[in-house]
Amino acid sequence: MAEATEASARRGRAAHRRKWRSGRLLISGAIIFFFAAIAILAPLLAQYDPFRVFSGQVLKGPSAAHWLGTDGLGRSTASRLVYGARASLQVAFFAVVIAALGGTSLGIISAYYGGLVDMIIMRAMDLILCLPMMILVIAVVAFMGNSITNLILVIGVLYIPGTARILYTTALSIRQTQYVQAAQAVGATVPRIMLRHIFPNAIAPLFVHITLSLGFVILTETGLSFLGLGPPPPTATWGRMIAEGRSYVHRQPLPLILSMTAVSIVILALNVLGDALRDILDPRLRGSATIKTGL
Amino acid sequence: MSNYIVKRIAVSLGLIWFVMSLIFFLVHSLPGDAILALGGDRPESMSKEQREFMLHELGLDRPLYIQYMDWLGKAVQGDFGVSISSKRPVLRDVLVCVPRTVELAVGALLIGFPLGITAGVVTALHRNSRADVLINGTFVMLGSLPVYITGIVLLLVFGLYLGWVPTGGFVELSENWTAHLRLLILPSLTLGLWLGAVAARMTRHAMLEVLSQDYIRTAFSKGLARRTVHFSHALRNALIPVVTATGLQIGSLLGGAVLTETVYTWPGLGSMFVSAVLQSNYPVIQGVVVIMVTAFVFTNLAVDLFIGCLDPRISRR
Repeated sequence: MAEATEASARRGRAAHRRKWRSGRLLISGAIIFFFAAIAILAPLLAQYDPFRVFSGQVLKGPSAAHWLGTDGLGRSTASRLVYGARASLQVAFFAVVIAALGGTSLGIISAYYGGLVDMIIMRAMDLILCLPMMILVIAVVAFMGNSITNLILVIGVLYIPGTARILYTTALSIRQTQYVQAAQAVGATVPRIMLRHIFPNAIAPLFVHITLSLGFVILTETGLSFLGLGPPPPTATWGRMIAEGRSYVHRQPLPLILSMTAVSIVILALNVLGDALRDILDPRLRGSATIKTGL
Repeated sequence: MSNYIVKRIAVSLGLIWFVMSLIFFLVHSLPGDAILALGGDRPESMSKEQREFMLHELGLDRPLYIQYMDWLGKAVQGDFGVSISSKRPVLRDVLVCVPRTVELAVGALLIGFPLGITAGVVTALHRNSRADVLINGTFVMLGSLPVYITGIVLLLVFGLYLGWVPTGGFVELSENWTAHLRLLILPSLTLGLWLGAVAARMTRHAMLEVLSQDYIRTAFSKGLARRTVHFSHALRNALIPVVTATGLQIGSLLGGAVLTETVYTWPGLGSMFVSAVLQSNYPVIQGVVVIMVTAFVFTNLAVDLFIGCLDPRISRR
């Protein structure tokens, strides 16, 4: 009797966990979808040009003319928030695409060939992984300039090693499987084995990693913008809104509060989404502690 | 063990060399005028002959590999040239800022480790309780939020609203140490909360893993007190991965220091770095990057060796 209740309680807890997992996935996914839509549709959604200065309407509260008020230069806060989403998500998306392409190819190539190729590629990756990312990004941006394209390139390239590590570990175990050996035995070409056999089976961890990376890249981009090293003015970025909003927070806190909220929500949602995806796609890692850092 | 130490030191030196070379490459990817400006001159007001003379004077017309060796030789000795803004040797300016950043990092460690480990132990021992969900949730959030947001919120609440601590300014330690430490509280707390979040997550995970081991059951079954088992059997073993993982976050701590120092206008290495970048003060950028990376690499080395002592299995691999 006691055992039966125990078992049913356990089943109930498992069902509860499943529900919690899919709920997490839906909510965080919806939030990201919402922000992505805002970023893509920015020109349609924004009430005004984000650079347009309404002189005489500095630091106003919400009104019919300015839904979320204006900032220290009399620019529409709502429009700048919307375009800020565009800047952040744009950098994050393209940087992660670069990291995914580069990391996937390097990871799979070194796992497949092994030996000297493996040693050279993966040692180089480890080397870069050992360095303080933020410092390196700032240093490179300092010399190469801080246009959006440069930011995407720099961050993208510096995120390659992380992706390569993940793909490498996965590809290494796939390489040992019988279906890969079978493909080799029937004479499949190397690119075919990599693209048709190894890559499709490595997509799950790649996907999880990409989602988490998006969060880190947004952190890096908003951090750089906050320092004044992000996309150059007058581009609207959340990081710069936060930096500027600080100086007039006692007179009009809205730009500061809203931009900080936007950054926090997007980053938390991406972290939760990444976790939820990992639980679903990669059950082996369920519950393992990833270090999610705010830097 | 000694083999392991030698290998680790070699890798560390290799890393520093790699970063130095990267910096050299970056400096030389700049247009010529900017390199001339490194010497503190104004290239735009020079005639063609003057320019060529200056290029020759600064050795910029020599083959690249000779310039590289020369630069490397000087950089190893800590000679990064003269700061464009202050006209003083870069190393002197940098060394003034180093202790301030070290203070910040030490403050963060002093707050972060005890906080994180306590939270991790409490949540692991009361797994799935309400306290666990609440504390764990808070720390997950603190850990994923950018430090500049935590920093601004703390500054607004404790500095501006409650008025418990000053919101800016800087006092030297030697001038007035109480005022100095008061200024240090919030920046340390900001970084410490973030570090604590990392430590808490790791501790909770490691504790749960250790608590499910056979030897813990054995310890309980031979009648040891709960407290003894939890603290001298479980926690001691759980701390090894915590120290490793958290220690390896010191690099992120440096990145966080850059942001935190900017939020609180704390004149450390990070603030210096940012203002140098904003002013295109290339000699200072070079110096700060090399110093930061060196510090980072050697802290990692220290953590690694420390772990090697804690857990001899690691160094034998």
